[in-house]
Parts: sequence; C-alpha cells; structure tokens
Amino acid sequence: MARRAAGTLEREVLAVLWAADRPLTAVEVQAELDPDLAYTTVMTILTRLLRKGVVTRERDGRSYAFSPLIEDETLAANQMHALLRARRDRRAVLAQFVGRLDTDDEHLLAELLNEAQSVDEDNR
Amino acid sequence: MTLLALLLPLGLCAVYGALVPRLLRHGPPALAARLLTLGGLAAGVCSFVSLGLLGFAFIAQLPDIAQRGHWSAAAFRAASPVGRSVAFVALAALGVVTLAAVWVIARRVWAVHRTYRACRRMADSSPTGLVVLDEDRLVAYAVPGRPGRIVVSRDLLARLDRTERRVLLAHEQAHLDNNHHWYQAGAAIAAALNPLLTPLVPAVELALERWADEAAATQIGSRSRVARALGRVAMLRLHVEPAVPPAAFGITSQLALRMRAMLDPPPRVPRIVVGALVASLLVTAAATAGAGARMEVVTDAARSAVSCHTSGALPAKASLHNGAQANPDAMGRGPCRIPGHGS
Repeated sequence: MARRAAGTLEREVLAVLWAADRPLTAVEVQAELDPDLAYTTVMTILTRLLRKGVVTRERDGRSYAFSPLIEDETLAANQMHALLRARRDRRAVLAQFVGRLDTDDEHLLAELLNEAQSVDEDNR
Repeated sequence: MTLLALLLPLGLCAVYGALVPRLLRHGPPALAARLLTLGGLAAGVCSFVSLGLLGFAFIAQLPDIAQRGHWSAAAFRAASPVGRSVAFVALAALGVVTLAAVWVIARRVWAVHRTYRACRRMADSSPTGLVVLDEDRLVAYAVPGRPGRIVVSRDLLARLDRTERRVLLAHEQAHLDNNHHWYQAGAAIAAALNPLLTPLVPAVELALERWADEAAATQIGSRSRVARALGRVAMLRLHVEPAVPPAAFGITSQLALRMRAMLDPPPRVPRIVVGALVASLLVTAAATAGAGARMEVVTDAARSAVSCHTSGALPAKASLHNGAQANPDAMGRGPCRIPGHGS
C-alpha cells in the first residue's frame, strides 16, 4: 500500500473519530484506520490533532480515548456550508463525490456494484 | 482564402465541441481534462479573434471610421475578404460573445474568491483541511481555497467502511491538489467564447471526476475498490437520502461510466489522437494569425489608396470624400492598384 502524506493521515484519523459514535482509543483508531499502520504512527497523529485543537481526549482505564471537538468545528462548518449553499457559489465548489442520481438506473448500479465486489474478492 | 482562414476557427469549435469529448471519453482523465480545457480555450480564443477580424472588416467600411483611420472605405471594401453582410453578422456575434465571456469570467472569479475567503475563515477551526458537518444528509464535496477544504457530513462518514472513507477523502483531496476548479472555469469560459464548445463543460466535469477517481485508486492501491466505493455511496444516496432530487438525463450514466472505467483496465489514448488535436489547434491558430496579417495588408492598401489620391491636386479631405462616397469604383483601377485585390 502506498505511503500516505502526513496531512492525508491526519484527515483519515479525524474521519475515523467522527464516524465513531463514542470516543476511541488509539488501538481502536488503528484497527478502524488500517491495521498495517504502526501504532506509534497513529499515536503521533492523534497527538498532533490534539495539539491542533480538533480532538479532545478522556481517560479510559489505562489509556486515553479520543473524540472530535464538535462545538467549535461544526459551528464554523455549518456556517461555511450555508454560505456556499448560495446558488451563485455552487458552481465554484467541486462536485459531490457522487453526483445527483436517478432511481431508474438502480438496476445498472447494482450490477456494477456486484461486479466491483467480485473483482475485489478475486484480488484478495 | 482569407475568408476560409477566418471561418476555420468556427469549424474547429464545432468539431471540438461535437467530437473531442467522445474521442477522449475513455482516455486517461488527467490528459483528457487538459486537452479539453486548454484546447477548448485555444479554439474559443481563435474564434473570438476571427470574429473580431470579421467585425473589423465591417467597421472599417464605415465612412467615419475610414476617415479617422486615414484610409479609403471604398478601397477597403474592394479588397475586403468578406462581404459586408457576413462581416455585420460577425460583428453582432462578437458583441454577444464578448458580453457572455465577461459575465462568465466575472462570475467565476467572484465565486472562487468567495470560496477562498470561506476557507480562510475556516483556517483556525479546521487545520487538517477536513470539515465535518453534523448533519443527517449524505454530503461530500471539495471547496477550493489556499488550502482548500473537504466538506463531509458525519452521517456519510459513519456509514462508510474504512476503505470507502479513504477513497472518499483521497478523491476530494485530488480535486483540491490538482486545482480542478480552474479547469471547470476554463471550460465555462471556452463555452462562453463560442457556444459550439458548450459540450466541453460536462465533458470536463466527467474528466475531473474520473481524474480524482484514478488518483484515489493510486493512493489506496486498488481501482475496483474505488468502483465499489462509488457504487456504495450511490446506493446510500438512493436509499438513505430522504428525497433524491430528480436528475437530468446523463447524470446517472456519468456515475455508471466512472464505475465502469474503474473496473476496466487503466485507460489509454492513442498518441495519434493527441497529435491530431494539437496539430489542428496549431493550424487554426496559424490560419487566424495569417488572416489577421492579411487584414492588415488590406488596411494598409486602403490607406495608401488615400495618400495616392492626396498626392494629386485635391486637398486631402476632399479626396477622402471623393474616394469614399462620390466615386467608390475608381479605387481599384487607377495607378494606385490595391495589392492582392480580387484574390
């Protein structure tokens, strides 16, 4: 697997913390992120996120559990989202990951998804 | 010959708009995006310049302008490579196209300025570049800026597995790293310069999405997993999103195309196609430049037609009026023959 840049890893770790519905320990983050990644790397990233003030930690037995700092971030995020919702700005924002969809093609979508899954299993 | 050279850019725009998106559809997306955008802009600029030259051929025949520029309107008309009616239509088109281009450029610059400003304001609260919305909708997009931001909703993150999450982040980051918003703007400007280039806009959009897909595949080391992530997010949007707005035709097929492309072997495009495209652009640019030079020759000739008459007994002003109005046919015949007249 290709090496990831530090910024990429920071975002991936942050995404893992946001996706979870409870605080995660470094071991849990490592498992959810990429088991091949060194524990120390995950720890380094978490410490860096802590220093940047985007995550917070609490004691969980013998280790720390991390969670995203919600209040600060979401307020600004929602402001930005609302700002860009203005019609004239939308064209400057790069398109949604998956654009608008039409239910008519669900069948085709399912077929392609099946194919992707089987190709994926072959590669394992 | 000159008229042909002046109409060539319009022909190129028609071909570029109608054919090139199809030619490059299955090619490597980064190359396709560059060829579509830069080629489209080049074709658009050529067609803009040629409209300008045609429009000039009309204006130069107006007596007032001829007087101001010290050339003979009649001599210009006699040597002009285009008829007045064609030139007039071109002038009108030039006006429309100029307004459209100014409007599109202004709007784009303003919109990008606003996203840059929004990113700047976020600088303290999202030092990682990832902005998470605490929303129940499935949202994921990239906001251009310095640095740009990836906006994702918490709901979407929670529903994806770890590979899908990585694909999503890598895809959006690729949009930002490769300045995809400028390609979008370039295609929009090309379409404003010549409406025949309008098909480039969706073609560039598809190429940019494909580009980001391929970049994500390189990063996670699997193309089929990108296809799966795309399909999964699409399925989620169909089933989880409370109301998916009805889409225009072709948008779903764009997603199918992206998935298909990631399941097929990596894309290639024959070198000869790229070569032919670049060659056609160069030929058109050269033809446009040649037409411009020709127009200059015609203007110079019309100018010398005036000075030739001035050298006679009549004062300069009277001669100009005689030349322009009283005796328009006399110009081509006298000793001051216009070079290249009748070609």
